[in-house]
Formats: sequence, structure tokens, C-alpha cells
Amino acid sequence: MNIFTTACPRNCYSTCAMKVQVENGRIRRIEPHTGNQATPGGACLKGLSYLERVYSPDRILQPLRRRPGSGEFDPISWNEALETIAGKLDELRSGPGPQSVLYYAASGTKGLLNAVGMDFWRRFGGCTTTFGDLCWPAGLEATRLTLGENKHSAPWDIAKAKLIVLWGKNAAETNIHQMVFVDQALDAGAKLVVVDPRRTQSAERAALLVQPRPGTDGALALALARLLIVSDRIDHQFIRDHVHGFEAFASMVEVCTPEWAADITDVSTAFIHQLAEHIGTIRPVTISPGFGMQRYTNSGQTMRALLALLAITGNIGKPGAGWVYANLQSHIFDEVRDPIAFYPPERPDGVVRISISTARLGKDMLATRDPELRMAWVERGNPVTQNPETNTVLEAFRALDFRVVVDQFLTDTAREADIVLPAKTMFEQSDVIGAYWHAYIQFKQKVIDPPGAVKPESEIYGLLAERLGLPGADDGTVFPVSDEEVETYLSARLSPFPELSLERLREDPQLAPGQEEVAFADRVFATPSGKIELESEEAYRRWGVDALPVYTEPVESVRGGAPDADILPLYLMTPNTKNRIHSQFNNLRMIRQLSPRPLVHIHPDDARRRRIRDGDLVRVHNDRGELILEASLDNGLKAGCVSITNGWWISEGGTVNFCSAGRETDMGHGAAFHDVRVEVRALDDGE
Amino acid sequence: MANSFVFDPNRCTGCHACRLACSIENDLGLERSWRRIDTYNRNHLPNLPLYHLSLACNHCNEPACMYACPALAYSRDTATGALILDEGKCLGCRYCAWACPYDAPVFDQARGIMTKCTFCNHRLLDGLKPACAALCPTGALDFADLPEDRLRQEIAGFPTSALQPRLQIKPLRPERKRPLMTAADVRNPFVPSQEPSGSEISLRSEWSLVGFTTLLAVLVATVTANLKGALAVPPLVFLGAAALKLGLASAHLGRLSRAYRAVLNLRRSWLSREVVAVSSFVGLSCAYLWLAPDSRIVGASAVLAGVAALWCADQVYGVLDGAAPVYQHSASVLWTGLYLSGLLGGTAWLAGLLGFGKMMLYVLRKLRLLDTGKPVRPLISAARLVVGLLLPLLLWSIDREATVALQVFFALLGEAIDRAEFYSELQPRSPRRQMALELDHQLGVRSGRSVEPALSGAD
Repeated sequence: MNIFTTACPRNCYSTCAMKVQVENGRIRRIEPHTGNQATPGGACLKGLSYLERVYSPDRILQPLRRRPGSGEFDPISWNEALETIAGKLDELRSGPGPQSVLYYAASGTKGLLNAVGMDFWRRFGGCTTTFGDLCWPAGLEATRLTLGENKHSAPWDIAKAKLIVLWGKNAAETNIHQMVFVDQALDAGAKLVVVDPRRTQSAERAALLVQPRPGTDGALALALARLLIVSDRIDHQFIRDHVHGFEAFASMVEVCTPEWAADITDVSTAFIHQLAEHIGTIRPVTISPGFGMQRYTNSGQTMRALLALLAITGNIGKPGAGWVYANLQSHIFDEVRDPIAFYPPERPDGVVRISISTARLGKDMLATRDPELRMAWVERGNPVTQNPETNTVLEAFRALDFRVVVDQFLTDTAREADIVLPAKTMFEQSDVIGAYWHAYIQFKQKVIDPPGAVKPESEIYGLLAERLGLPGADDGTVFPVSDEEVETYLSARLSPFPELSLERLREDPQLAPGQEEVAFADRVFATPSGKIELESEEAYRRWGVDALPVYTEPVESVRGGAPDADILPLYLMTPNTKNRIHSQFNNLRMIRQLSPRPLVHIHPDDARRRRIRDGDLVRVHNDRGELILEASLDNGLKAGCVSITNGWWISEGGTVNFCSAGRETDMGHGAAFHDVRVEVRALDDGE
Repeated sequence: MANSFVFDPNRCTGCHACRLACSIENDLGLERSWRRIDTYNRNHLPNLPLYHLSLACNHCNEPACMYACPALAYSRDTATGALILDEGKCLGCRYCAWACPYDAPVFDQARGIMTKCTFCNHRLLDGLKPACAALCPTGALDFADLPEDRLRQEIAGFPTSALQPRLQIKPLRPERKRPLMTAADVRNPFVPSQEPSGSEISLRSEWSLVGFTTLLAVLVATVTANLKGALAVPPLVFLGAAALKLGLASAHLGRLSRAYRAVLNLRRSWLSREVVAVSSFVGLSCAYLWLAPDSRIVGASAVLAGVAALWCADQVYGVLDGAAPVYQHSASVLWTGLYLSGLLGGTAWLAGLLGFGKMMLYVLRKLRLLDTGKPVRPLISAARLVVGLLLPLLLWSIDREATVALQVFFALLGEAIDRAEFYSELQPRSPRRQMALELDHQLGVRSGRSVEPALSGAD
């Protein structure tokens, strides 16, 4: 039996280290790897379910071609698949030009080898691609504007906190390893506050669950800031030394009384006072905000308002204190870090056209001209399910002449493809990955050969380059194929960091060079003023928002500000679940036994008004689309909200993005697809 | 000191990694596992905590499963403390699942045998923790060598028992017991109807036992009547009925070829004793009816063996943790046998006493059910009382001799109804049922409704 060190490359906070046991060329067990101090307990249930995923009978093991005009696929040879694709690419390159090809790559698998894709398209002569990101841009940009960069203390530092606020984060499901350190803090007497309209698994540990109306967290934060200032529970010395724009901020929040916030957030003034009391009197405070809260149209400003609470109380740069949002200290290979890295370039290079907003994928694809889009290549992503406005995305993909999707399974997006190419799993090609919660660099080691006719993307691109006669087609340093070429490729990327040799990484995860155990302990903030900026000129200049984190209503607010005349009464929340990473894992029996079908959670009072009983089939709809699924009455949900976990495939009952809108967040080119109102009706309601 | 599971409900997020780890480690397939996670208050009723219990076999010091198993298929690995079920010896009677209040034994339909958590004994022997504990990402489930006095299960919803489970459950943190929420006002809270009990016993799967126990009572009654001279039982008819009865009993087994193992645990298992008593009764009765119809001694021995068989058949249900003693039940097989003996043998005092006694027990039981808000089907109850008890006595008073066949027929109908109700009302304890009871109790306390006290002592 061979035991390999590897790590999970999903788009997930935890990015767990694992020990994989291989018996006779087959994975037998996945065990914890204590070399990663952030994930010593081992992988989550999804990590364990790789034993099914790798060997699933549903896995695509050879190229498939869709029968014209049908949803059926036939297996074809690699030669036929590559000839067909190369022929199409050649035709488009000499016809409308290489930019008529959309290259869409998402976050399905992390790794340095992903760069081979864009290398190919540059050699091809260019392509069109997206800017922005579905996940976390508003929060990244708010943090960058306020603190200068996106980093936070080591994951285990939260165990030293005395007050932890999980603000819009359900770590128990989405970052389960963080809960280990939260529990250590609670054992040491810390207090946990959760802010979330849902009563989540994380909220079960909390001393207080604050349930604001979705999208109004900024107002809550500003009222808390005002109470802290009025009651003089702020750190004057810290503000003097390290905070820019405090006076302007203080005068802006003067009107943000608890009554004002209670009216907006629907959280009573008593609870606002209580939370302010906690933040004002307990030290140190860590706020760990989630990603979901920053997917509203006002959420960059929301995140800046939350940051202000830590700044004025001096809870930054100290053990147990801080802002645990995104830790990019392991992103040492990036020339420019996120979020700047995914903004559209100020000076386009004329080769790669970065012109399509990820948040508005469908609309922007349809609107693209000179040349218009004719073909799409999708890898590591499932945009039909996961991008906003599914119906528009479907329309845009169906308007193309030709679609290639690289995937392990027939996802909703793969089903739209003309050619589906089989994708490797994490165990079938080595790569090096960073993380965004801990700061480990990890070797995602190859442990088995790809099954069937599966070829890693680096090889697929090499074979296509060969057929298209592109330079470097047979160069293993450009398109690495063999295990040696892959390791040489990775070693070259690691060479600037002598402490990160493949030999060391093969045994243990290694902390990124220079990672700070306590972030900002040196009080160096890479902002224009060199201080924490509550007032940001750049926020106004770049995004046109107020230089202060002023509260505005989200676009789809029940309270008004809504563009539509007839206001739909319910907020649709679309959180992540422990059972999936976005739309991955859900097709596995090991996972589906825990959650066989999608449910819409609804408050009993909202349900009764609509004559909906637990288990009834209901229609969730707005003018963008609809879903038909089973109602589940939830006493812990805030009234006026309904909740459906995201990631369900259309074939499994439907994606929540039928109802979401393709809009950007107020900053960072994020997707504001949590800013959604819907109505819910019983199916037999005669409507 | 002994190896034990340690569970901290404060840390458990209900992620199910332990369940998957068990499936993988023990090659149980993608969806089967020896570990199950039950959730208390899954609908988020305000002011009540939500927590999970992850349970597999607790490898009890006083293992009810091992004591109940008629086939001696259970044994203890003294080196590790693991309670091991030898799948090669299991005859698939499922009696161990009845005895276990934690629902630890899991029936494998395809192979017709029980399977059960092994404590990952193969890993323990290698110095490793069980897979479920080793792979819990939060440390909620662990494994340790603990002294007896640390083995407390301080949480509501865990079935308490005298089995001394090798399991420590840590108490909930105080702030978890009454979570403080800003949106806790629900005008019309949704209260789920009683969740499925998750029990291994239900009428649907036990219909053959209804037939078996009722038929046993009939056979004992006919032999008794024969002995009294009130009835001449043709030996072949008796033999046929006895064969049918044995067929019904074995329909319950997953592995008929191992049925002989059912007598191995006379020392502890009522099931083994029942099998021996029933066999003796059938053997002696055949001898009496066929070979020595005139021997009072053989006849009396057969009747005695019959009464013993009825007694054992009742005692079998004594393993159901939390069930009322079966002699308090109107459908007790012993009472049925004696009642039918009275009717068939024309023993007025016996028929009268049992008929009246059964009526009292039945009515009292239904009243108790009504009182605790359980469903009562009045038409079925009326049929049971009128057809099964009043009608035979009425017919007796008109003309006993001429109507004896009718009396027995109606009495049997009534007994069959009662027996079927007995199985459908059986609610053996299980973690899921215990949690549902606890939730009911909490809601009752809050609404001022009077309910039966929760069975769990803790919390």
C-alpha cells in the first residue's frame, strides 16, 4: 500500500491536506494529514466522497459528441474530437478572428497548471474572456480599499479571540475547520455572535443570533459604530495613529441611530444595543464575514462599514483580533493579486479581449460585437447552473455555433456542448495549489493514472496546438504531458522560493514564505494614506460610490428603491451547503443520500398565508424565471425570506439562478446575484 | 478502563463525515453505514437547541444484543473490548435489533443477516482509532480508553438503559440550551408530526409473527381441550397446523439454513427457550395424539410444555427496552391460549375470567393511549371487544355445545386484531424516537399540555 500526501484543490476555504492510500492502483482510503495545522482533523464529507467520484459509473471517460438536434451523446475517439475542434478553431481564426472564441474558465479546480489554458489561447492568436468573479470581489475590494491588501491572521488565531462575530458566514458548513478554532475559543470563554437571517448550524453555537433583513448589514454596522462612538468605547490612540477619515466617518454616522437601523434591518434596538455592548466591551474581537453577504448591489459599502467597526475599536493587527475574510498570503505566484488581477485591463493588448462581465455572462455574450462570439470553450466551470440568470446564459450558449466543455460529468453546461472532453480528477495529475484561508502551499500530488481515455487539460491543449501548428506545441515546458514534464513545469514556478522545493512539498504542506501569523501586526497598510481608510478617495474615483461607507438600499429591496412596479414580497437566499462545493459533488450517491432533492425553506407564517404546508410542491418565481420544488417549513428562518441552497443541477430539480439577476456589485466587478426577490405559490393554487 | 466512543454534541455540525468514513472503511457500499446521525429539533423550533447525535454500536458492557441472540453469534474481543457479530453464525432473526435501544445492528436484506459496527477492530489491533473517530473533521467524535465513571451520556434524547454503553456524551454548553435569536417570534410555529420511530419492528414486517403466536395459542388450547375430553383432535390436522406455525416462525428468518442455531443460547435468550419449549410442545403433543392418546401423563406433559411455550413467547418481548410487561397486555399469548382453552374445553370459569380480564386490560390500555394523544381506532377497538370477547360469551350462554366452533372462530378474530395492534403499538426505543418524545415533552411543558414524562433522565 502506498501513501501519498496531497491536497484538495476545490474552491473552498479549507483546502485540506490529505493522505491518500492507494492499493493496487486504486484509492482505498483518504486520511487526515496533520502537516496542515489548519485542517488536522481531515477532509470533510465531500473529501471522503472522492472515493465515489473518481470511480463513479457516471464519469466521462472519453470524448463525447452530441447528436445534432438531440440531447444524446455518442462516444468518439480523441482523434475525431481534436480534428473537429481544430477544424472549427482554424475556421474561426481565419474568418471572424480568434476573438470570436469565448474562453470561460471558472474555479472548479485550482492549480498552477491552469495557466496552460491562457498560454494556449495567446499562441492561438487570442480569444475573448471574462473579467470579474462570481465569488468574492466586493469584499476583496472593500478590504483592499480599507486595509490596503487582503490578508488575515493564521486560521488558528481566532482561538485567541474573546468575541467572534460570524457575520453572514455559516462556517460550520462552508469552512468546517474554522469551527475547530472557534470551539477552542468558546472553551476558553469567548462569546460567539452570528449575524444571519437563517438559523444556521453555526448559529447553534452562538450566544446571540442577529437576523437582519438581507442586504441591510451595512445599516446595522453603521448604527453599531455610532453607539460605540457615542458611548466612547473606541480606541482613540489607535484611531489617531492608524485610521484615516475618522472625523468624516463619525459625523456621517451621527444620523445612524439604533431606531434608524432597527427600522431598516428589522432587528430591535435592544439587540442592536446588546451587540454594541459586546463589541465595545470585549477584547479582542474577530469578525469573520462570509461571501454571501457581499453579493448584493450595495455590498462593497457594507463590507467597508463592517471593517470600520474593527478599525475604531483597535481590533486590527493584534492576536485574536481582526478581519478574517480572505487570506491571499499564499498567492505568491501571482504577479498581481486579486481583486486587481481580475479587473478589465486599463490598456487592452488587442490579443485577449477581456470584455465580458462574469456577473452578466449571458447578456454580455449576446451583446458582443466585432467580432461576435461564435464558439465557447468552458473548463473548470458550470456557468449554466452557477452564473446569474440561467435563462439568459442558456440563450447565449445556444446562440453560438459551437461549444466545447471539459468536465468529469455531464453537467448542465456539458449537456449544452457539441463536444465534451473528459477531465482529470485531482488525483490524476500533479499540481501546486495555494489557499485563501490558511497560507499553506501544497503539492496536489498525482496518486493514480487517469482512467479510460482521460487526458489532463495540459495535454489536450498540446495536442490541439500541434494540430493547429502553434509555436511550442511539442515543448514540454509549455504543454507538460509526462509526469516529469509536469514536475519540471512546477519546479520552475517554485524556483524563486527555495524553501518550497517539490521534495519538501511531497511530504508536507509548507507555509508561504513571509506569512504573518498575526496580520498587520506591523501596522503597515498599503493604502494611499498608509492608514486604515474609512474614507477612501479611490472608492469614489474607481467605483463612483461615496468615499464613506454610506448605507444604500439593495436594488431588490422590499422597502423601495425597486425599479419594478409590482414588488415581489420575499427575499430569495441561495446559500452554500456542506454537501457541495457550488454544483460539484451533488451527483454522488454518498452525498445525495443526505439531501435527495432541493427544498425551499420558508417561514411558517409566510407559508400559512399562502396555504402552503410542509412538503407541498411550490413555484418559486419572478420575471427572470421559476423553480418548482418542495417546501420545507423552517421556524428559524427570518420571516419574509425563503432559502434554497445553490448548486442543484437543472436535471436534479433546478438551479436557483433561474431567478437571480445578472448585475454587478457596487465595487469589484462581483456578481450581485443574492439581491433577488421572488414570490412563492402552492402549485395547486390555480395561479 | 475500556475503549469507548466520546461524543461532543457542542462540536458536531451534523456533517456526516463519520457515516461516510464507516461506509468506506468497512466496504459497506455507497449508502449503507453502521453509523447514523439523528437530529434533535431539525425544524428549528425557537427556544430549543438543535443538536445531533452520531451513534453506532456502543459495545455495551451489558450487551442486550449478545444476551438476546439465540445463535451465540456475538462475542467480545477481550483485547480491544469490541463486541463482534460473527456474520457466519447469524441466522437473521433480527432479535438483537429488538434488544438494542440504539438501533446498532443493521439488517442486510441481500444477505439475510445482521451486520454491525466492529469498533473497527482491525484498526484497533493496529493501534488506530475507528475510522469514524479518526475522520471527524471537528473532533466531535473521538475514541479513548476511559474509566467507568466517565461514561455518562448527559443529553436529552439519548435512550438511557442499564446496558452500560461504552460511550461518553458531553453535556451541551449552557448558552446552547436556549439560543437567543432576534427573530424568534413565530405566530404559528410548524411542529412536525411525530417523526418515524426508526424502529426495527412494525406490523408490516411482523405479520408472520401475528400468525405464529395466534396459532401457537390455538394449538395449546386444542391439546388442553383434548386432554379434558372436550375435543378429539385428529393428529394429522394438528401436525399440519404445527407445520404451518413453524413455517410462519421461520418466515421471519433471513437464513433458514442456520435455523438450528436458534437453540444455542438457552442460558440467556428467551428466543432460544421459546424455540425449545415450542418444539417440546409439538413433539409431546404428537406423541400424545398419535402414539399415546390414552396416556394422561403424556397429555399433561404436552399441555405443560404448551403453557411454557406460551410463557416464553410472551417473555421474548421483554427485551424491548421500555415496553410494559407483556402480562399487562390483553394480547399476551399466554392469556390468549388460556382463554381459547376455556372456550374449547368448556371450562366456564377459565373462559369467563380470561374474557373479562382481557376486556379490562384492553379498555385500560386504549384509555391510556387516548390520554397520551396517540391514535386510537374506535371501530377496530369495538370489533375487537364485541366480536372477540362479548360474542363468544353470548353464544356460550345460548348453547355452548352447538356454537363452540363459532365461539372459537370469533374469539380468534378478536385475538388476531389485538395481536396485530400489539405489534403496531410496539414502540421499541431508538435514538430517533427518544428525541421525538423529548421534543414532544418540551413542547407540552411549554403549552401547558399534560404529556407523559420524557423517558430520558438526563437534562
